[in-house]
Amino acid sequence: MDEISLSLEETNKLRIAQGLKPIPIPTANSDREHTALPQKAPTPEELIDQFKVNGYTLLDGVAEEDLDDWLSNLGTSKSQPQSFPVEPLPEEAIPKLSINHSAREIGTLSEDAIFTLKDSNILDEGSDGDQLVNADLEAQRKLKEEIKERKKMGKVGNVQYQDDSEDEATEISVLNGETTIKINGEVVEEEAEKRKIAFSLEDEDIVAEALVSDFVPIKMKKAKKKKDSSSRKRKLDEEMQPVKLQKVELSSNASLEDDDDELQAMLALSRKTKQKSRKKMTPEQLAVEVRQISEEEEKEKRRVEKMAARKNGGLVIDATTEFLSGLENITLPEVETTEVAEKRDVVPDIHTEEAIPVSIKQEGDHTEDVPLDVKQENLETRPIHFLTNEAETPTFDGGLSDTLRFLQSRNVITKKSETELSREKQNREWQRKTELMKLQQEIDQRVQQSTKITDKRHAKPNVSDDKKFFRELEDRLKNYNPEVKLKYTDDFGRELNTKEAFKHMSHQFHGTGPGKAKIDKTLKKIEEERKARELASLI
Amino acid sequence: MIEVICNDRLGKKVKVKCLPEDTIGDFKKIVAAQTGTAPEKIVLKKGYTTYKDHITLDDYEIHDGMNLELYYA
Repeated sequence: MDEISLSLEETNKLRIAQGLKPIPIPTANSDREHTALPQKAPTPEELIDQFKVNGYTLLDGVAEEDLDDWLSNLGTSKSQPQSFPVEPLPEEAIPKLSINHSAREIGTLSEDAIFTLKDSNILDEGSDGDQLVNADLEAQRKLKEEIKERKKMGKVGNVQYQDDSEDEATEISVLNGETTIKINGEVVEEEAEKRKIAFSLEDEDIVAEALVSDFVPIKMKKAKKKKDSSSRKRKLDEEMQPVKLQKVELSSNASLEDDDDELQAMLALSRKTKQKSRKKMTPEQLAVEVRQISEEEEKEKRRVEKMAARKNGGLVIDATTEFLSGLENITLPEVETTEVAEKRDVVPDIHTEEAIPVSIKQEGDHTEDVPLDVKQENLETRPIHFLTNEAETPTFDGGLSDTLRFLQSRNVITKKSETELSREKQNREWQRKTELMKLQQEIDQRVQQSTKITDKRHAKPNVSDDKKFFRELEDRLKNYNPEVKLKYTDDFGRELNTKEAFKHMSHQFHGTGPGKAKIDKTLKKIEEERKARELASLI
Repeated sequence: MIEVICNDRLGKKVKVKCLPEDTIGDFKKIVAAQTGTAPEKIVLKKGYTTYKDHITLDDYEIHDGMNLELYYA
């Protein structure tokens, strides 16, 4: 691809043809530029005229000197005062200058210190006029202020005393060659020639004194650990004091009373819980209950009457009494030695609920005259007797049955109801029967096989036998209606509800377990349940 | 004097000598004369900006050796 490009001449021709300005030829261009650029430089005289202010210039005062003179004078300092033609100027023309530093500060400065005009608002033409400021001093002051600020920050809150002496705005104002120094508002006039400045330091001293008198050293109160020390003291006291042993009266009466109180409390508690747990009864239910109670009472009455009738007729010894008396002989041999039933209440023994009626019967055997009275008395005393027995620790003399009884009384092992018992019995029978059937069947089969080997007649499978078997099975299962109930128990043997069971199985399946908190909770619950059961058994 | 290159990317590439104070319209006339197309048919673009006729090269900040896109309307 070629670039089409025309020469300058050709382009110019084109431009002219188009009615455009021709492009100037570079050489001609440069010449023109050179001639055009340098404007007429202003002469020194003109420049001076430009910079003249009020008709005077800086050069005005300078005498006409030779170049050599100027060179020779270059190194030397201008010690001799310059002979300016000082003309009296109007007051307004000379700006009022004031140095914004204290005399002490100025004293610290070296000779060739430079003062500059302080930055101020142009529009703000206050009475104080322009202020001269030394940059170094200004920086120092700023630094000091900063340090002070930091100190303040350090001791936040309790800044009572500030060293204001540094802040004294000692103002030296230079006005028309005269120096006036203001210290704390008092104006001290000095002559310009005297370099020494005599301060009346009294004033400052007074101020300092006043400040000293004002100064109250801050006492930092240390936060005392009062509480700690007191507690330690108390602890020490406690340690020092000998332990006083209180005498405890061990009278059986008192302890019994205590027990009684505890018992009462327990009773009240259980009553409350029972009341809570009891459902709200409908009037019908209430009526039924009342009737039951009345019936029971009536029964009791009748029984008593019967007994009363028997009293006249003497003692009736039947099979049960015989059995019970025999049992009594085995379990409680020492009972026979005691004569009266009342005495047994006092003597601590391992009587349990079941043992009492037995003993009564025993009594009946021995003293044929007063069986009923004894019985009556025993009936009255029975609950108390039972309870006192509960409170004592069991000795388990009677072997396994005694233990079982104890556990049952404590509700650790619950007694099975009659229906449950009967069901269990039935189940056992069923199992036995099935076992027998199986055995029978096996025997039959073996007999058959043995005959099959010897006799070829039995080659065919015996249909009638099978039929017979199935019929038997049917018969057997005719009145078989087992009660199926799925029960899930946890590791403690507690029955679980659906949700708990699910969780339990889930844990088993996944090989996980409940958290520590959960376990603790369940253990606590179990413990509570156990306690509640014990309480219930007590009452 | 500046030289501006115009390329239509179809086989035509022109180097045009011009002045910065020329308008785009003037510039187009010279380009048209060099390429042999009607100046009304020329469209000059740079990026997505189409240059307008009444504005000078200087105002568009077209400098020496710059490339402009040449289109035909």
